[in-house]
Amino acid sequence: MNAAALGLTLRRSWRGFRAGWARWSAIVVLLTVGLGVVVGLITSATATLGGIDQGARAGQLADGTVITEIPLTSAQLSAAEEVGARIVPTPYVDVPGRSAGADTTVRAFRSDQAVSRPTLDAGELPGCSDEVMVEKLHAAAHRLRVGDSVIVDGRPLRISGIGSLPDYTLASPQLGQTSDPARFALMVVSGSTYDRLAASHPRAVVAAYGYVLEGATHEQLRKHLSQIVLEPDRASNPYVAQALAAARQAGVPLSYPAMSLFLPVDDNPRITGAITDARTTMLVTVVTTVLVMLLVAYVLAEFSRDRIVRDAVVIGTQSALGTSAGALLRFYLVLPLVVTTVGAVLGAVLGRALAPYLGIITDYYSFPAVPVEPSARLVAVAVAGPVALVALVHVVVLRAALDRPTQELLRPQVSGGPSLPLRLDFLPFLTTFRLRQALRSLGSYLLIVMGLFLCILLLVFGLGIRSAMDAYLARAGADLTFADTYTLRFPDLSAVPAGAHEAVAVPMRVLDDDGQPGTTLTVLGVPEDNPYFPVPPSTLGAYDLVLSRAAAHKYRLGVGDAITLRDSSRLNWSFRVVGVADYTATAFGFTTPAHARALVDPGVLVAAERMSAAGGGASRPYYNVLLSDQPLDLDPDRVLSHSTREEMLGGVVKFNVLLSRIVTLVTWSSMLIMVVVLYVLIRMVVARQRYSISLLKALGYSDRQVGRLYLDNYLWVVVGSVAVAVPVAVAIMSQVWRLMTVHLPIGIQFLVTPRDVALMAGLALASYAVVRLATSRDTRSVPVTEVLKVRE
Amino acid sequence: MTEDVLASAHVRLEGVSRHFGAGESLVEVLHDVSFSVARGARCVIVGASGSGKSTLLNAIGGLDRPDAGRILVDGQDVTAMSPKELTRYRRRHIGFVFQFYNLVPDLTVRENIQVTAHLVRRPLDIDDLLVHLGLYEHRNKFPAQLSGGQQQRCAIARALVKGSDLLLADEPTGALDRHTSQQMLEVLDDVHRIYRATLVMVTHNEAITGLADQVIELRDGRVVRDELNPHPRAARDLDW
Repeated sequence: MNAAALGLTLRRSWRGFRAGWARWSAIVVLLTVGLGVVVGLITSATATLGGIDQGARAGQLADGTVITEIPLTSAQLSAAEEVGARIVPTPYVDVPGRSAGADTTVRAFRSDQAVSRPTLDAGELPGCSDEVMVEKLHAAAHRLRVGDSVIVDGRPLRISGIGSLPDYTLASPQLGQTSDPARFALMVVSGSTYDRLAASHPRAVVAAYGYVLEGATHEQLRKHLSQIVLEPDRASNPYVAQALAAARQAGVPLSYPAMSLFLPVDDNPRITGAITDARTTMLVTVVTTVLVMLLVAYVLAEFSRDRIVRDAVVIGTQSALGTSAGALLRFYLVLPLVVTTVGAVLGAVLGRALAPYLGIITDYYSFPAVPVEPSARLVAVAVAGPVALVALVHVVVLRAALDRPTQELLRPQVSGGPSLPLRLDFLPFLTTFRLRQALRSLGSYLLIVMGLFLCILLLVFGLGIRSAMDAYLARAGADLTFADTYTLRFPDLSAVPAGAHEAVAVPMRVLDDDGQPGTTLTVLGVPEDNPYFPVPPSTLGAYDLVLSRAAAHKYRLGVGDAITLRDSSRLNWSFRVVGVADYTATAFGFTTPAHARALVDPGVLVAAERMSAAGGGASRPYYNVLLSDQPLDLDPDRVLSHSTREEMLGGVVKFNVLLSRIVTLVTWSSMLIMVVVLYVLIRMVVARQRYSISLLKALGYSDRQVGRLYLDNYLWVVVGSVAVAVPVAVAIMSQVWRLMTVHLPIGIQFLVTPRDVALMAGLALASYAVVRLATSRDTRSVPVTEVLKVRE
Repeated sequence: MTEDVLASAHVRLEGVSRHFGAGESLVEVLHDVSFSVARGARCVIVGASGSGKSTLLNAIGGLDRPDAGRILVDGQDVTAMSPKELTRYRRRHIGFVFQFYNLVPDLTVRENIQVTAHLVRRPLDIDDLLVHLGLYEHRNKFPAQLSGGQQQRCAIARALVKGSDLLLADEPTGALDRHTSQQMLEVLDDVHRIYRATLVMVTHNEAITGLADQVIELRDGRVVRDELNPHPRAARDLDW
């Protein structure tokens, strides 16, 4: 193509744009919004997963964590290396502190630990004894910056850096501490400062280790470490010696391993929580992306097809005069490609701007700040994808047009196929006319129905997630009626503290289809007087379980199904699901306390009973969980863990907030997209009806009457589409939601409330009203002489 | 038909037949049509609506392929050409003039001519054409701003600009009033005189045959008349 020909093509394209600027602009808006959402969501989700990955790599995240009752000796560390694992000390100590005038509990780590190291967002690691690195969530809570000071164990330390620790959420606080990052601060200090703090608070030092597998498996290392038996006289917890003595007295074998926690990285909820949330947002992103791209592709394809079909005479003429198919294709590609490229580039820019606001996972999890920028590949795909699609559609449609005999192209037919032979004379004229119109232009109407269906699918997705999460949050809040949960290592069976209710919890691993242990399901024995959980019937069999709805959802189980669980002694237990309790907050398998006790190590049971008897009190049946509506005054040495309602709900709230911005974006953008799609499609269909509109005008119809005859029809198309599309979309999205949340312990169904339906219907009608107003000009602008142009 | 004409035949049809549909709905539009048109002649094909005139013109122009027979243009068998060869053939030799002009609506008069001029290496001078066709002052107008006659003149210029040696006009006056039609025929007469292209014009108007060097009449797809006009009249002298 020479310069003059190129100039001509460009001029023609520019005029083509000016003539249909509103529709071309609508296409640009559709692409910008659609791709903006897609690029924004993908960028955000990718950055989140990238941040987690970067934190793990930069911080040399260990393969797992081990906590022992007493520090391991050099010989024990060397023995582990022979098994094929390197165990690195990562100790910490809890000391009092003060940040920005508020009292805090500081958990101090050494800056020189070799694995699971801190990563910095700003500044540097402490280089001397009066410096400290503050974890980013704590720094954010108190607006601390590098150069500010915090008090740690009575001494002011200058903040040399702000960063994160690679377990992303806060490490578990001890009994009585809160996990609120404003009051519970993770800090990293120099080796000398750590030694000083540890020396001042020897009882607060935790012998923690990170392990790196170098040939061994997690199970091999776990087995090896569990064989290191805790010598009672070296145990810092006095109950260890008492329990061992009690068991020995009863002649029951019992040994406590030196190891009190063995946590492979994949089982660490502090790590998997962030990853699970990030994966879920990525899944939401993927589904949204697919829906938006389907919609964009559909509208672009129809728009391109319509343009070429309507230009059939020009194409036929040029072909008759010897213009090649390639030259025609080049011309017809210029404008759509320019418009598509502009829309796609604007979409990428919008997505880049939106992405940081969607990446709020960084507000809740402590992992390194990563640039929230779309990758070059994402931008390239976002721009090249629609461009390639438009090119492909044009090639296919133009080829199909040129495959028709040229004389057919030169002789356009009046649009509209034969009407169905229906008798409609019993209906009023207006209705009959509209029905005939609909039957004659069935294809055009289906076009709008399909476009609306895709919009509604997107809307149902956004609104449904919001409603489901709101419902889940409300249900979880209603289900969690207790304020504090204490898991006991050495329960005092002589009495249950006043105001508390006991239960028996046995964590077990669920065996997958291949017989491999997977995630943990807690079997909870609930006494009849426990007010906090659904109480299973006393007639429940030993191998029956009532699952919480969360567990049923997570493992996709129902009444009559079987589930096999493995206990800590590697024994497998096969249970039958006999009921699903309406408890959505946590995945539990409910049973009676007696059946739950049967799953507990007999040595542990006997030791607990003997210890109580030795104390001289009456011994109650074994329990290891206390639930209360207020904090209990318990001996910390008896307690394994403590969690509050706020902490448990916090995870749900965190996840809800995390999704809310994404859902808001999806919802609002789908509303805008619906208006644009209706506008583009209805204008397209009206343009196809120019002949009959002109004919009616020639017969004496006014513009207003023509508008009523042609445009009011779409009201019923919109109403009908919504009526059909909403239930179908809900059915589809329920399945999608189930697949998306299968990894989450969420027992809530996909939910579209009547309010959502009303909102969608209202939105569709409002979109129609806007489009009706905008397109009424189209029918007015059809000249009465149009009818004369259709010849022969 | 004289031997001279056959010897200098620019267009030659041999037993051309064309039908549409099949079975009971089969319609034979052209039946064993044969004739020749001499180089530089003005040939008018006349016939009633549905007689097969346009189908014949489309077949000569390579837009349609007959079911039987041959069409030779400059000795080349158009019916044996591949789609690519047909495109080249139309590009180099054929200029179409349609009843409804079929101008590109978003191009000016000059650009509508340019868009065809770009198809060949040595197009005619566009300004000359515009002057000859009385369109120079309208060269920057869009089709919608022109009268029917002006649009048809633009379509003729578009057909000529490639230097086409075979001008095919399908009812070129069919959409025009009598006065404008006469002007249009004068234009065709002029351009034929100036550019010496062979003109094959299809019309239902018997009066137009007066200006032809050769008249072919079609009836129900058959040639019922093929005669030379020894005294063709000027377009301005025609009357109907």
